[in-house]
Amino acid sequence: MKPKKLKTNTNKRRSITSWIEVQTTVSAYVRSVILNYHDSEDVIQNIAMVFVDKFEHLGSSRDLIPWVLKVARYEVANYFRAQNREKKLFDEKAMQRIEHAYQSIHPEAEGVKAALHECIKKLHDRPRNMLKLRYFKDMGIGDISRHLGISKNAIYVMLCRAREALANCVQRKTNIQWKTS
Amino acid sequence: MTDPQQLIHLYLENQLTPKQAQEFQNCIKEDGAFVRLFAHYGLLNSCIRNEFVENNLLASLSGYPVTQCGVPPQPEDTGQMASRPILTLEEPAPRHIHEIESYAKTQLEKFLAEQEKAARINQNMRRPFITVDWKATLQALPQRLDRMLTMTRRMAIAASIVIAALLVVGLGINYVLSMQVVATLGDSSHAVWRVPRQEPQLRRGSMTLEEGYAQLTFKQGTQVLIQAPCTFELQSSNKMALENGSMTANVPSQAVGFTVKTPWTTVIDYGTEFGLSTGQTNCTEVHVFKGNVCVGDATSSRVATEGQAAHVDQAGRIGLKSLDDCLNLFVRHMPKAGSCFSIPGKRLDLADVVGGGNGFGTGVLGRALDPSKDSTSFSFRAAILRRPFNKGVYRAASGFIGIEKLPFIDGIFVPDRSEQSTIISSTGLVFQDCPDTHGTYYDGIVCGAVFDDRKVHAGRLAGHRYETPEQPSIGTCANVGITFDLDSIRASMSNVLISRFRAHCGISETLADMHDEQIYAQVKVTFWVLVDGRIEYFRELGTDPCESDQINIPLNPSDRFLTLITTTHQENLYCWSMFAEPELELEHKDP
Repeated sequence: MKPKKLKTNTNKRRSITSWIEVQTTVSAYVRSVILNYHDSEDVIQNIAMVFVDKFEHLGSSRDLIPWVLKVARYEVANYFRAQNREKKLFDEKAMQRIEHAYQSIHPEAEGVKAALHECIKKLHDRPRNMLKLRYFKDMGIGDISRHLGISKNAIYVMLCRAREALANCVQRKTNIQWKTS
Repeated sequence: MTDPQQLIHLYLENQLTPKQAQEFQNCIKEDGAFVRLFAHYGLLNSCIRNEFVENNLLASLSGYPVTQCGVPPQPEDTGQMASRPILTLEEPAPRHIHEIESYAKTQLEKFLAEQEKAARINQNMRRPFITVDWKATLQALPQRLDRMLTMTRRMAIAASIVIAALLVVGLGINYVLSMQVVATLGDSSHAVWRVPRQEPQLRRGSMTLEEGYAQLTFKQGTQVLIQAPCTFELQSSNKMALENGSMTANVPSQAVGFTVKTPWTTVIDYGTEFGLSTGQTNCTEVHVFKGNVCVGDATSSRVATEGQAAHVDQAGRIGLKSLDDCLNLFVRHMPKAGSCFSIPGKRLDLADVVGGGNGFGTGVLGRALDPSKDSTSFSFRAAILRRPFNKGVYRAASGFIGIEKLPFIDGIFVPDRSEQSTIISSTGLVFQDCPDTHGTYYDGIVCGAVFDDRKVHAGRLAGHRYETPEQPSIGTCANVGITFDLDSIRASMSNVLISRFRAHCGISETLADMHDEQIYAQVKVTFWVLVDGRIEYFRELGTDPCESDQINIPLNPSDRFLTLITTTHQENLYCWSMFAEPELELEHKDP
């Protein structure tokens, strides 16, 4: 392969633009079934590779989301196979159901992203720092508890509250209620 | 029943009890609304991560390069997430911006004043205009049109003055920037530049270091140690491009955002010390010694943290692993003058490679490779010696042992005539003329030939002691063999030929200090050097009188495996054989 700067042709650029369209949903799907941060990023990276490679063969059928989520499901399944865990939380059927759910909420994705961007600014410093440790530093509840010297339970409650506050704010802003029943 | 939201939070925090996990599974399988809720929370979760890890917060930090990696972490993490002072990465320097601004401002003020004046004239005209009848209006029209035209002309002139001014200032800035000093050249060691350097001030442009080391200090404060062979381009006071070669960067807090582009990827620093190597054929490797760096481009990027190495392959894929699993690729400090045997671009030290290094002083003295399969093959010699003695001699468990951890070394073995013991490379090359050796060895292959009878001491050949990194040696108490992979050494450097192998071999003269003359007199070891399985050198050396010899073997670009072997027919006690100053001579290859 030639160095990167030489290979940006139009097709590639188009595929990258399309990837950005689906990226939010695909990342959400992968990260919700693979909780380990680095592993999920690896898998997302693989999906992006397949996406960019296979994009031109997709032809005119522009039904990107079902296609890319299927690719994602294969990659996730591959990952689980390589992990060889004895008991899996999600079987084939569960994976399919989750995939369909993501397919159906895909139109909301960009809205949620934009709303969250605003909502997160409103958080107080304390919960925001907590989220930062959790998400940016990729620390688990145990790590945060050791780091701050606060009990695990308190950390858990604070994280849940922060996430719940963000969930409510996002639902208000997007005007979509998540709970259907 | 647990509350659905609660179940999802527990799952996301990996806190489900087995019972709750069962409940969670059932909900996913049976409750459509739950799955949808789960997807919503998953989306939220992922977006929160993006907010913190990826680019969105960056938008508020204008001036910072927008990649997917996000905000540079602050040194102490308990601080606020609020946006920090803007970090300017790119020239032009603020002073020049100010100049343009103030010039444009005065021009605009002039223009506005003119316009106001014109408006006033207009107003004066207007009062009579309202009261005057149509006839008068028609009469006044040509005059008015003329005034309006004058005004438009004035506006056009004023606008073109502003544009011209901006152009002149802009061109001037370009010129100033090209002449601006972006870095200074500091210490160097054995440095040979392709274009000899007269002055320490460095301006934008491309440079090639052919031999040795050079230290650059960027204007914004980053210190970079360049290791030859290396071609790079200085792009601004906090940005460079590395075409090929190796470097380490030490980035102080005021230079956070220091950026290095390579042909394969971009590395942005968040206040750290890191090593970076890249080439046209091999890819990019980043080792983070302190802090964090972001590796990647617009499509994908990762943050590598302290103690991690990022590897970017030809497809742009970024893999992270622990530094413990990597070869010590980077020289982190400028070697003191005259303190090193190896010179990048000129002379590579094979003893350093045995010590786990890159051949330029990153290896560890005393580290040893042990050709017995039942132990870890890479340890300190002391650890080998501590293991229980078997009449003072170790027996190898089995044939050729590949050393995956050290890519420059193909493997090690204990040579013997038996079928299994004559294999000397991972590709199955065979040492046809291998003598009978009993298949035993004593110490393994050690970086730094040290021996012990009553006390541990460094080896000595022809009156010369080899005990420091400036006088390296490989201890090879017979019978042992080691095969170096020259292809993988070549791949670590760009535009370099390995032209020759040189070493001084023999049995340490310190053996003569021993009182037991009988032992001393009878030691005889044969030294062998093989290239791709062909014998290029062999000689039996004894200790009565003490003999040593110089090895000098030319190497071709197609030669892949260099094998050093010592054998003896005797019981291998006191076979204190060694290769002193084992070097690969390097030459420049024109790209």
